[in-house]
Amino acid sequence: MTDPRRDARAGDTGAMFVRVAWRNLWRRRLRTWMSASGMGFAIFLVSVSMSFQAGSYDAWIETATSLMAGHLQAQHPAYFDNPEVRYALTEGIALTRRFENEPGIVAVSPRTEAFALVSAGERSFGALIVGVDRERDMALSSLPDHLSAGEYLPGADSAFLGTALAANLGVDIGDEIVVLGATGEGGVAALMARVDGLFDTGRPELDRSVLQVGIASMQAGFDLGDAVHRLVIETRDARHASDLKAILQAAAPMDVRLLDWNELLPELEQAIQIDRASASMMYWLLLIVVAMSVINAFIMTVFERTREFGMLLAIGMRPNAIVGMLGIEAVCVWAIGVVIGIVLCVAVVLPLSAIGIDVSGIEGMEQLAAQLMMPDRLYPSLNVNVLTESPLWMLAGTLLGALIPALRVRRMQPVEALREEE
Amino acid sequence: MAEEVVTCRRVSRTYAEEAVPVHALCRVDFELAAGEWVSLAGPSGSGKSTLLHVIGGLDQPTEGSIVVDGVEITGLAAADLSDLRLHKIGFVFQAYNLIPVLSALENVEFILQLQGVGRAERRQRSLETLDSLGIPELADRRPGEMSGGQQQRVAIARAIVTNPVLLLADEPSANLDTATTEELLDVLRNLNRSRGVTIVTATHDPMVMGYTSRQVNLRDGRVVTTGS
Ligand SMILES: Nc1ncnc2c1ncn2[C@@H]1O[C@H](COP(=O)(O)OP(=O)(O)OP(=O)(O)O)[C@@H](O)[C@H]1O
Ligand SMILES: [Mg+2]
Repeated sequence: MTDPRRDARAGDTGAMFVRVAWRNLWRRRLRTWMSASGMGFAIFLVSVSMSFQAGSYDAWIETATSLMAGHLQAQHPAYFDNPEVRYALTEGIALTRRFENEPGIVAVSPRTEAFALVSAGERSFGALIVGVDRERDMALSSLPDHLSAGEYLPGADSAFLGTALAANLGVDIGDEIVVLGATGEGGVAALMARVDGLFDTGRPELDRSVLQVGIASMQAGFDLGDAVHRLVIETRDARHASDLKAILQAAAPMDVRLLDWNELLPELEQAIQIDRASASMMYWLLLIVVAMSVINAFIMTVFERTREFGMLLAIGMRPNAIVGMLGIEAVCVWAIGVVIGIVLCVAVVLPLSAIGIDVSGIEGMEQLAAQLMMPDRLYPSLNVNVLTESPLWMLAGTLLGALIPALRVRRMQPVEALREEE
Repeated sequence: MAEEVVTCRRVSRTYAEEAVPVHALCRVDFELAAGEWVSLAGPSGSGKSTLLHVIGGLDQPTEGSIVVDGVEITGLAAADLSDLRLHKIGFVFQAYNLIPVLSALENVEFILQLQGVGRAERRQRSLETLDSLGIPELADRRPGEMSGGQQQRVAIARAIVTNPVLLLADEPSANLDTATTEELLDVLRNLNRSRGVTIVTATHDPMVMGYTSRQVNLRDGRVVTTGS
């Protein structure tokens, strides 16, 4: 049971402490502004760079997932660990339709896959053969955008392959190729195709080893019937892909396993983690600098106000209440800092998040951008995380920085404090 | 005889940290009856402040017994001493009595707030106390906007608003000129006579002696004479 009158008095006392704390801040105007604007600037720096980080992660995810993997995939439960032809989802068309109608899903594309030998004349190379439904795949994949010659799968027997693979095979637009592989049962799989298009993604591992054909001819050649290996899914928001995955998985048939992009592209998730970690070094440094400056300011404060604290102790105020009052002072400085930092951050980032900034000209970015297939413009992203994380860290640093000196009050003897020379 | 507010028996306070131990108080016996105004006199370093501090629960004696308002206060925990000071003692020091960022009224209210007195009662009692000391016009002024004498009067208001059993004042007039000192002493006399506030003042100032009901002379931490 709580006594409402006691609560009211506690609130009342809190209000008085806040009033005293707030007015005390303006006894040392300059120091308060210095601390608050230092904190505001740190919050500004961290928030702005976090918004750019968030924006570039969005771009990384979007470009990486759109190339091949998608945000989500449905597979045979064994296929992810053992990508063998026999681990296929039967009734590919029915499943495709089913997922297409799920809320939150933008596009679904069925694909078949097999490692096989590709031959042209005397030359043969191993490659990943991917059977795609042309229309559906174009709706979610950016691979067709990397067309460098010819056309994207114009006919039923067309092949679309990487420039490096084409060079290795010594083929060009119009040439015939033969694919030889194994069916799920271990029989011989064979299909013939005509090189109608070449792609150049700038990623050697793709350009050297991927060959796309129409899904129908692959299903026929590999004796797959209606079966597919992957249903590649594009969702409305890649950031919520894993939530959607859980929902879909719960409703999916037993023999369908859903995977999200974190699982499909572990290296992407890793790259993001590494980038986060290296950036958080800078945040930690800033945090330490701010905490130090707060410690410094509060050492001065406690030192200058020793007599006042001695008097407060003498008239019967508890040491912890004085520490609490100093804590409130620190929180007030922090609050001013947050307002400064967030206002600056929003003022700078909001317009940029609409127009983006051109990163194509930045030294060193070109190579990176090509590798990650980054767009030329980066759109910083403001979200709740970006705007709350650094203020909360700063709050922790501020309280720590204020309480370390403030705890001296607990060791003060009122008589000695009162004797202290000004 | 009136009831005793303070009883000190063989109270000593020794500072042993120095090479030669300093006996700030040495087996002091001291009684204070309700309604008295006693002044502690003696040269600098004779132990006036120290006696005031141990009576008020600001400092602990190294030996002896102190009973304040029926409670033995030696050996009390810091938190209990803090409560004793908050509820039973009113302090007025030589200077720096007030919270600089609060107005006179807020300073007086502050201590009631520490006691947990509700807003309306707090406000009313504080205004009444400022009134009774003849300084209602100072209510909204901050310490920096008041003279030394005015600040001391507000400090007295803060000290008595809680109706303490005892008002302790250490050199309350040390920073004041003669005329202001006289005004301040009139205020204290008024409190003592009309409200029956029990007061102990420590001072060098011979002018104070004329006002008090009794004087206790200290020298080297011992009581040498006591008389009216
Ligand atoms: N913290 C301390 N350490 C050592 N000695 C101390 C300490 N505080 C006080 N003393 C000594 O105790 C003695 C009594 O001091 P006290 O302040 O009570 O004197 P007083 O009569 O109030 O003097 P004054 O008139 O100057 O205020 C003095 O000799 C003083 O030096
Ligand atoms: Mg003294």
